[in-house]
Amino acid sequence: MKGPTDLELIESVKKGNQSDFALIVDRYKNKAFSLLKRMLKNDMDAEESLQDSFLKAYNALNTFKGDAKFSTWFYRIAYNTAMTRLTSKRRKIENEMSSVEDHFDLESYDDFRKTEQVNTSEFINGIIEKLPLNYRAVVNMFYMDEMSCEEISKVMGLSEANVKVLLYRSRNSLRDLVQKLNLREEIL
Amino acid sequence: MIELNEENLNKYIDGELSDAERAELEKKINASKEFSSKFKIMTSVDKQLRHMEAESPSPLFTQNVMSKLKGRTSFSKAQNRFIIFIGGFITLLCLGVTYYVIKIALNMTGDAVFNIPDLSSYWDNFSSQLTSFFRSIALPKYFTFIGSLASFVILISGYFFFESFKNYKKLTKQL
Repeated sequence: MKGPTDLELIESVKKGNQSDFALIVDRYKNKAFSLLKRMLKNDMDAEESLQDSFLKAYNALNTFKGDAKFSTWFYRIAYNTAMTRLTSKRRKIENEMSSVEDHFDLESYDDFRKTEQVNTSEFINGIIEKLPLNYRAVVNMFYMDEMSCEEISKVMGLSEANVKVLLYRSRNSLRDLVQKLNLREEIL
Repeated sequence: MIELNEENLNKYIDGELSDAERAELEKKINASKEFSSKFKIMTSVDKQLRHMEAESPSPLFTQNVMSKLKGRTSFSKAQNRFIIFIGGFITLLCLGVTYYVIKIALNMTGDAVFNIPDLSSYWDNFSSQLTSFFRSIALPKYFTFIGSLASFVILISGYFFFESFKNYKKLTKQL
């Protein structure tokens, strides 16, 4: 990592150099935004939640002792903020935990494929959007944020074994969706 | 001997198998049309996911976060000043009341028990000065002035309290 480390920046912020917090924001905003957008499925909600997460992190910076990585600590704040937002919006998360097929809108996805010339990553994004909340979060943290299962387990408050199960199920669901929607050509 | 199942396909992708296990699984995958198809899709999706880039929030995001932080810091400073002011006022009031109670107690019990010469004379001197001061300003001709001053202080405090409360509500809404 170029420039000062997370711990150096945190120490500096704790000493009163508030402007150094901007470097921390710049360092984590994109990856955390991707996670929140995947969870909330909405740019505006994701950005507001991300802002809240950074403000919460700033306020709680004195409680960060450096035992874990800052990224893990911060993602936990962001993850919990998103969960609170989802709860407050009374979205039925439980429903999302049921079968993927029940919630995959085949018709709309067909329209999406027909009407737009999209590249492979957009196809993948479209399929991920259809996964249940926990699957989306795990896929995002594992692939985009390059976090280990151990780190993800700390963020989500689950055991490492459960995270692995979620990851395997996510992959299997993505594969099943590709097969079911005949998207093999687009993906391969 | 490794079984051909979905769990092991995932382990293969995560690189959790030994070389021998990988070779054995590859043979089994190639022998099964169903698993061969599944495996191709899984590895392809995995590859795509590993190359996906993170999305960005709006360009002014960092600036917005920092301005909110600065606003909040200055608000909390003003809030602290307000709390210190109110706290100081209440402390002074408590000290005044305590002093008054002690003085009454000393007067009631007489010199025998509480008569500590230096302290007593100091208190007596101080209390008489304080009493004469309050008597001098409590004359009817000063009532209008004192009333106006008290009203002014109450108005200013009220306004300041209202503004603080408004800012606090705004801040909690943002959070």
